[in-house]
Amino acid sequence: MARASIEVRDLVVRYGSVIAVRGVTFTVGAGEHLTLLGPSGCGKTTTLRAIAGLEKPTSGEIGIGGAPVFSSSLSVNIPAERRGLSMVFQSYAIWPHMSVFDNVAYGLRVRKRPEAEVASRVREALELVQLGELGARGASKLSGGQQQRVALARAFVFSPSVLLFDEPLSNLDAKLRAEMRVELKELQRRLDITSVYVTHDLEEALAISDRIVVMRDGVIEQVGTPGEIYDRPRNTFVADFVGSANLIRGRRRPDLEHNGLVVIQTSGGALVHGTASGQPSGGEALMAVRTVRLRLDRARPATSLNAWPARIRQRVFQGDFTQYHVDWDGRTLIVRLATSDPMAEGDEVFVSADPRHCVLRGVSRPPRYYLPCP
Amino acid sequence: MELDHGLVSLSPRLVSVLVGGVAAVLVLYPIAYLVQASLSVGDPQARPPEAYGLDNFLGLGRYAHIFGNTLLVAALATVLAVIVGFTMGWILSRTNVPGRAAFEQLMAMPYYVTPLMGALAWALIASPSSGFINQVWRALGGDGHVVDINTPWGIAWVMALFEGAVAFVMIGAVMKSMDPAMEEASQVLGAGRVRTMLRITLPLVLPGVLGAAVFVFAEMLGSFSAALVLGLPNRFYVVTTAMYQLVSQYPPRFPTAAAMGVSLFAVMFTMVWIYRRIVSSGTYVTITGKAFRPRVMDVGRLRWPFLGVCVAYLIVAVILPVLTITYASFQHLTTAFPRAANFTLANYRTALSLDAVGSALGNSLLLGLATASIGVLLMGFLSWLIYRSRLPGAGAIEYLLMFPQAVPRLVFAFGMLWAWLIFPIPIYGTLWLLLIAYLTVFLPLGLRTISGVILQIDRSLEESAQMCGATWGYRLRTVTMPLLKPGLIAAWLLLFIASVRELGASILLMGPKAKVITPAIVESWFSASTELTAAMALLQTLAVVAALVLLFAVARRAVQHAGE
Repeated sequence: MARASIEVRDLVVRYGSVIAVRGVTFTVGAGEHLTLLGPSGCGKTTTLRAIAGLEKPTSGEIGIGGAPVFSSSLSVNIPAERRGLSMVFQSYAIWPHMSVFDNVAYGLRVRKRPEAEVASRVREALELVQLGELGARGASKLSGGQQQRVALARAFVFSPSVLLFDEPLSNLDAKLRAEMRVELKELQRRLDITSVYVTHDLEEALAISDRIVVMRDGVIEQVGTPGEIYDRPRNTFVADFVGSANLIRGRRRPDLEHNGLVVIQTSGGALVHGTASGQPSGGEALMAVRTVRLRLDRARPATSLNAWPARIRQRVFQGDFTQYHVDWDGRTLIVRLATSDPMAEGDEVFVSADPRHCVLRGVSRPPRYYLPCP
Repeated sequence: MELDHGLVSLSPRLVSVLVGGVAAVLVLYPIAYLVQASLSVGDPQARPPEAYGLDNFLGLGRYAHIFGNTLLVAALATVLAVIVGFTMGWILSRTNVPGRAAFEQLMAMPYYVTPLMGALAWALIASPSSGFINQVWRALGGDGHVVDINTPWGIAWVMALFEGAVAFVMIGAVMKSMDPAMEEASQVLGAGRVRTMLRITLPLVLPGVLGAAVFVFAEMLGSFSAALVLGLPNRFYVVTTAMYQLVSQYPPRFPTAAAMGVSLFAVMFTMVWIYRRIVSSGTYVTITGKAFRPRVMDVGRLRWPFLGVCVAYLIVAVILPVLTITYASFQHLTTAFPRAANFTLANYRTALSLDAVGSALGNSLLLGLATASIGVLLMGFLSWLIYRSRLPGAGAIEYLLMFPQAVPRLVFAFGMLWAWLIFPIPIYGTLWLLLIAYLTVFLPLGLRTISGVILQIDRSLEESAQMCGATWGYRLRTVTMPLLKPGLIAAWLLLFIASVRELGASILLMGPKAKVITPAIVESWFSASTELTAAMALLQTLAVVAALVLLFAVARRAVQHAGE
């Protein structure tokens, strides 16, 4: 299948006085699987729809396979049906008045392929999504998961150069979502196609992407591989969104720093040692500690750095792990432990963290406002 | 590549502008002439007017009692209709009354009976001298009469019976769309059933009820047939019947009638505007688009009285009128007490031999076919333009097209009379003018029916076709139109039935050589016998039913042939 690269440059989408996307630039390599990740209202769906041609940007450039499909400077705007892309919709958008076969065959018939070819390719596509026998069935008689598969087959059957996904799994229940995530990844690899995927679900993004673009308020907060995004969030927003990191605010104490470690002092007086990524700045700073990297002990641990007395306020059993809310330094830290030795609410404990897992961050800008994704 | 893209996006835009333009001419051209006529102060017969001024409006003071009559009848009828609509809406959507689903279907019946048929029937039932009720009263030894339908109350009663079904649809929809969780939350928090009703249910449905009341009131201000049939014998006029009188008398007084029409239009326009404000205001949050199963209250033994209320309504609005008309159509001279010698088929023989019935009925059916078929195409396309095409100015086009809603059909027809009288192509007095009139006055009806379906179709269904590479014409043919089919069929039926039974516009616009059936029925009521009129009304209804049965049979056979 033909693979195409995508270039998006300085994309701005404005609805009246509201700016949904404010100057977004990124590229997707040929055959790459890129995910736009962010909370609702961040502009990710709008960006995807602009690439699809369903939303007309206010300004900027979009190129597919090297050719401009939208350019405000060249006044180019190729309509969606001529961009050679395909898309899986959040609502699946399965046509209820057609059979499964007719739904999937649609793109091929639009392209006036001979009926024999249509039949064989639809059959192949349905088999690929494990719906081989359902071709004759009416599309309105399908379960959510089956509709999802039909939508997928319909989207890739005519060999588009790029496949776009608009939160395709968000209407499925949790178990089915986890299954489909694996299947989707398998399918992506099998089809060897360029894809852009929109989701607000971190696990989904981590599972299926080569690269992730984290967005907020219509701008890009960070671009990186799933590993980079997860392990080295560039700022507090990404750290917070990517999940379950405690952010400890404090003032830099360069006078106490040694061995390449940086130190901040909280307003409550606690000293937190950590590592800096890049050039650490002075003044106010934040230390990010992932919830799974904190330890709880009944006795003071041997290490002298980053070990503080604390008190368990709440314990929440969550299956694979137990989440503790710990009163420390006038605030709450969240600690997730897989250990089976439960601590009781009210217990006096010691909380500690290896300085290697405490990462100094810049203080992120406050969110401007949130817009609903259309 | 860029160049022919320009052409691709131009074609739908061009079509939109053209169709929008045609619709605007249909709607605004007659209104402009109505306003012009109302400002004419020279010789009332002169075209174009010799001089302009406000004299016609200033002279309306003489007709203050007519405006008073109109307000009185409309207010009485609105109160009655809203009570009917609210009661029926509440019983049928919120209580466990037996046979709810069936009753909900039956509530459409009054619409098919029409106010004209209702007025004719109720004139037979309750006119002061020969009405059945009064005949029985006198036979029982009473004196004079107990009921009199030829009064404002009588007119309001008949109007309310039929508009009650409209109020029911509007209020019932609000009650059904209310999330039962809101009431359950109140009860869980300890409020009793009565308190929940007063503090939660009522405030939530109030905007909807208010909206329905304003809408019904606007309709009543412009209603015509009941006031004509029941008011004329006592020279009791409302604005629409007074306008009709002014136009059809000799010499006609067009400018005065036009001034009345413009005044009525101004009031109705304000009402419809208020209605739209109520409906679109933020307080109307009970409609969330989520599907709820409305919570049905177990009312215990009260189910039977409630069932009685539903049955009683259908009896007075549907069964009694239809039976009365049927009975009268088989009588020499209608009385409350049937005698074998009085039964006859003579009325039907006369009716069928009259040209007024033969050609008029044929014309009406032909017009119904044409209006419904052209209308569905035109209105389907317009709905799609307004709600789907994202055309700049779609909101303005919608406003324009819903305009006829705020204009009584008689007033609108008056504007058309003037507008097309001077039109270079001689269509005045022909069926063509009636076709144009029907297409214009039924724009809101068709648009509402079709757009209701369009709005239920998720936009992504069309977008996904676009992502599969389909052009807009291909999408329209393969996705949009098939999905719209049920809505289009419903709209076709409504337009067909409404056209065949149209009175307000037809009575002014039909020519002597191109008669249609409903005005012919009214004519017969005033100039021939009651029994003949009843036979004609029944023939009209039968013709509509027969036409529909025939059409469905043909359509089904066509579909079967296509399938073989």
